[in-house]
This record gives sequence, C-alpha cells and structure tokens, in this order.
Amino acid sequence: MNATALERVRLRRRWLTRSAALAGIGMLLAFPWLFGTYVGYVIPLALVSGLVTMSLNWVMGYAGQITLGQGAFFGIGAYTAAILTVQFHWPFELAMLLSAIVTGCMGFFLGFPALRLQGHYLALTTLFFSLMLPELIMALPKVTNGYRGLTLPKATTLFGARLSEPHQAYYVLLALIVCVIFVDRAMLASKLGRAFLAIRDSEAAAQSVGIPTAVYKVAAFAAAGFVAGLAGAIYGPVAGYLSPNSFTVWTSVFFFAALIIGGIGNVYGALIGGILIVALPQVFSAVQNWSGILFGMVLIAILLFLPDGIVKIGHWLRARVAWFSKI
Amino acid sequence: MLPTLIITGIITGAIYALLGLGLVVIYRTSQIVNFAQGDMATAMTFVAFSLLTQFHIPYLVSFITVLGMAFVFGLLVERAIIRPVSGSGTMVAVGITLGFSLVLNGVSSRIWGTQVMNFPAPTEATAANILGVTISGTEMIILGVTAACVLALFAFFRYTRIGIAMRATSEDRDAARLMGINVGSITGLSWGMAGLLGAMAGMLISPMLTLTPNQLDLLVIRAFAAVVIGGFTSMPGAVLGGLLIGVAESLTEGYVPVAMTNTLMFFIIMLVLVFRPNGLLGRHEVRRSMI
Repeated sequence: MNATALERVRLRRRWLTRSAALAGIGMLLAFPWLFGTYVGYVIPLALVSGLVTMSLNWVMGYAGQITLGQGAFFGIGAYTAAILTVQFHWPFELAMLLSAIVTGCMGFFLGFPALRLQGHYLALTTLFFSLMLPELIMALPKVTNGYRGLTLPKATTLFGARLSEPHQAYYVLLALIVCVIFVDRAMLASKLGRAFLAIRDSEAAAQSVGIPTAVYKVAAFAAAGFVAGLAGAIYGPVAGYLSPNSFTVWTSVFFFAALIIGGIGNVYGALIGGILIVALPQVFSAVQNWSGILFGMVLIAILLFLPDGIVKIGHWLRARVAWFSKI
Repeated sequence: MLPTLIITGIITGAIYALLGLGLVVIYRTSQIVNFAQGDMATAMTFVAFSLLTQFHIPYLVSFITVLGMAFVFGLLVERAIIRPVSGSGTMVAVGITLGFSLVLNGVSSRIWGTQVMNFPAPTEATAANILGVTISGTEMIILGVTAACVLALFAFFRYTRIGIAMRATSEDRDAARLMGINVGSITGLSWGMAGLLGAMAGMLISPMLTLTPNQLDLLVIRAFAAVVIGGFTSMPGAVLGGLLIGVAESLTEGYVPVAMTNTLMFFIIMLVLVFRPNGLLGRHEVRRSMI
C-alpha cells in the first residue's frame, strides 16, 4: 500500500532525526572529555565568541543595522564585571548582571545614532565607538589598572561553576547559548522579530505600515548589548586576564567577519561563525600572520560565492550538484 | 608651543586629506567606503621601501614607479573583488573591503615583517622657518604635493572629459550609462586614483613616522573621521576635514596628558553627524529616518 509505505518512510525519518538529535546532545555533553586540555581551553573562548556573534546577528542580521561596535560592548562587559569583582569584591553573579545591564544601556544609547544614520555612516560611527574603548581603559588606570591589565581570580564562580576550569565553563556557556537560541527563536516568532525583519527589508515600508522603527532599532542595539555584556563578563574569568589590547577595533571587525562567514541572519550561522573565528586561528597559529590572511580570504570568498554563509553550504552544494547533473 | 602644534597638525592633516581624497573619490563613484585604503597604501609604501633600500633606485624614480603600480593595483582590486559585488548593499561592501584589508595586512607582515623600519626621506634639508617653527624639507614637500594634488584633482574633475564623466557617474549611474559612459571603467579609474593617492600619502608620511604594516591604519582611521566631518561626497570637505582633524589631534596630544584622540574623534563625529549629517561641505545624501 502506498500510504503505509509513506508512513513507514515518515516514521523512519522521525526516528532518524530523533536519534541524530540525541546523539548530538550526547556529543555536546561529552565534548570536553573527548579532547585534551589545550583544546579544552580554546573551546570556552570559542563559545564566548559564538555568543557575541549571535547577539551581533540581532542588530545586523535581523534589524539590518550595520555595526562595528560589538567588540566594544563585549569589552565593556568584561571590564565592568572584572572591576566589580576584583576592585569592589562583588559576587560574580551580581557583577555579571550589572555589566550586562550597563552594556544594554550603552547599546540603547549607541542605537540613537542608528536612528539618524545609515549604511557607511553608521559603520564608521560605531567603528569610532570601538576605537574609543582602549583609550578609555588606559585613561582610567585607577580602576582598570591601565596597560598592566586586570587578572581575574581563579576562584571566580558562577552559581558554583568555576569559570577558569574549561570543563565547567563549557557547560555554563552551553546552557547560556541554548537560552539565547530559545530567546532568538521566540523573538523571531513574535512581533519584535517580525518588526526587525521588516526594518531590514525596507525601512520605509516598515514605517508605512505603522511600525515604530526607531523603538525597534534601539531595542535591537540594547538587546545585543545586553548579551554581549554577559558574554564579556564570562570572558574575564575564562581567559583569566584582561588588557586594553584584548578589545581593539579588530575585535569588532572579527565579530563582524564571523557573522558574515557563519551566515548573517541565521542564529546557527552566527554561532558557527563565532566559534570558527576563535577556533581556526588556534589551528593555524603555528604560522605567523596566516590567520588574518586566511580570514580575509574566507570573508571575501564567502561574500563573493556564498553570501548566506557557511551554514547554507548544504543548499549551495545541492544547487551546484543539481546544476551539474542538468548539463 | 601653539604655533608648533598647529603647523605639525596642518602637516599631518595634509596626509589625512590625501588619504581622505582617495576615500571620497571611491565613495563618489561606487558608494563604497574603502576600509582597505590604509593597507593598500601600506603595501605600496613597502614596495617603495624595497625599491629604495634594496635595489637602490633613485628616490624620484621609485616614487613615480610606485605611483604607477599603485594606480594599476587599484584598478585590479576594483575589477577582481569590488565589481562582482556592486549593488549588493553596504554590508557586503564593508565586508569585502575589511576582508581585503586583513589579507593585505597579513601579506605585508609576511613579506616585510613586523619590525619597525625607517623609510628614507626625500630630502634632508631644512626648508623654512615660519613663526619660529622650523619646517623640514620633507614637510614642505608634503604640503606642496598635497596642494598640487588638490589643484590637479580640481582641474581634472572640472575640465577633463573623464573627470566630467566621473562626476556624472557619481550623480546618477544609470543616466551616466545611458549617456554612453562606461560606468565600470570609471569606477575602476576611481579605485586606481585612490590607490595612487594612498601610496603618495604613505610614501610622504613614512619618513616622519616609522614603517610597520599597521602604521597607516591609524592614519586612515583619522582620514575616515576627516571625511565624515568634511562630507563623504565632497573633495574640499575631505581637505578641510583632514586639516581640522590634524590640528585637533595635534592640540590634544600637546595639551592632554593621556591619549584621547579617538575619543575626541568619536564625539566630534557624533556632533557633526547630528547637526550636519552630510558633513560640513557634503551634498545632501544621508537619508534621515522620518521620526
């Protein structure tokens, strides 16, 4: 019978996807034990970068506002949390929350130029915002310790998890990433997400149907700032050390590149891009200066040939295969 | 102290103006901010460095050879990576030029290394003494060459057929195409000119600083600020912005004990963009939101 055959295929497919999902979850949970300590050290840093790129995706991928300032939010979050814990002995949970609120507010304020500026002007204004951060850190040596940087205590814990231990940091970050993915999905399914996409596709059209674009643009910047601040706060104890050189304008450029390489407008693409941009240079670090060359070339190649990013490589390959089989 | 600071500011401002003019030339024909301007200029300055110090080619010959190479390099860059994405939006353009900047920076570091080098000066002579400030020959050359470039560009855009075609392209691509202008070649030409201006700025300023793969990035960031302040569509704006930024930077470095130049730039840019979104001399272009 035709129907039962179809049913059987469906059942088998469902079984396959479920077991694949289970295997995936199992892999993710067992991941730290499968790799050595060095890789273990890199993985939390890569996940932190993935978090920031996911937040950047809200501004660039969904709301369509170009920004080169995400690295600065990340840095401000890291420094705020570190200063509160090191200099003022706050509990880390509270410091992390406050730093995310601070960066959320700064995102809110950086959103205001976005109301008046578009395209390159916004890119350049946010670029200068990123350039400002190392100078401000150096200008306030009493709290930031200037060029000497801040060393985070190894004992910093977040709800009992010791963040300087790669394995424990890994699970904290995994949980946080899952949360952000859920927020991302919920947002896209809601009025907020639809408003973002409408603004991205045509701001004039969005306004003409009564979407208060100003409110939503500022909201995108604020939400992205909040998550970048959280990621920054965690980065401190994970990396163990912060200096003005950790948050240069190149940090922002790298997050921008990560988003485009991974797949702009796609939460998984953003995550993958953010992870790759930290993980790959570690792989290639044996050869000096190659990571910049490699990234630049990958970025250009992606933009020229695969504008939807690595996450859509399957579609792209399928389209090529279909094209080849036709001729 | 004040006259020295102002004159130093004008001289570095002239370099920002040269780099900024390159940015404006590109922006006018292709609506792209070239984030690789600094690294393109750096690569060419390194080529000049090799010609001068390894092959011992006379200064003027090296200078002109490198200008020609920079022009061709600009043309090639436009043809290879800019034209294929023309019309795909700002984000793609920013990504491509940033990516190219990373590649060039890495390549320059691999070929010439990251250690600090001293670029030879065109002349060792001391040329003039203005208001008690001694100005070196190199500085006089910077001022002279910048002034000559500005005049030449002005004449080019006003009186030559190609210059007028470039202006037409920047005003309306489709109309220009309908008038029989080869818009692609015009855009390519603008990238060539920008490459040339960048190389010139790099070769002129390097004797006064040191030569590293990242040195010019900093200058181009100032040039970005200059161009935003002057107006992205305006050549006189780029020159004015460059000089203003140069002097403002020199004064802050002279009077403020900590490095605050980028912070200052950020606030100047915010102020200018809030009150004059097209820059001081730019034509109306930035689309404001309707709130």
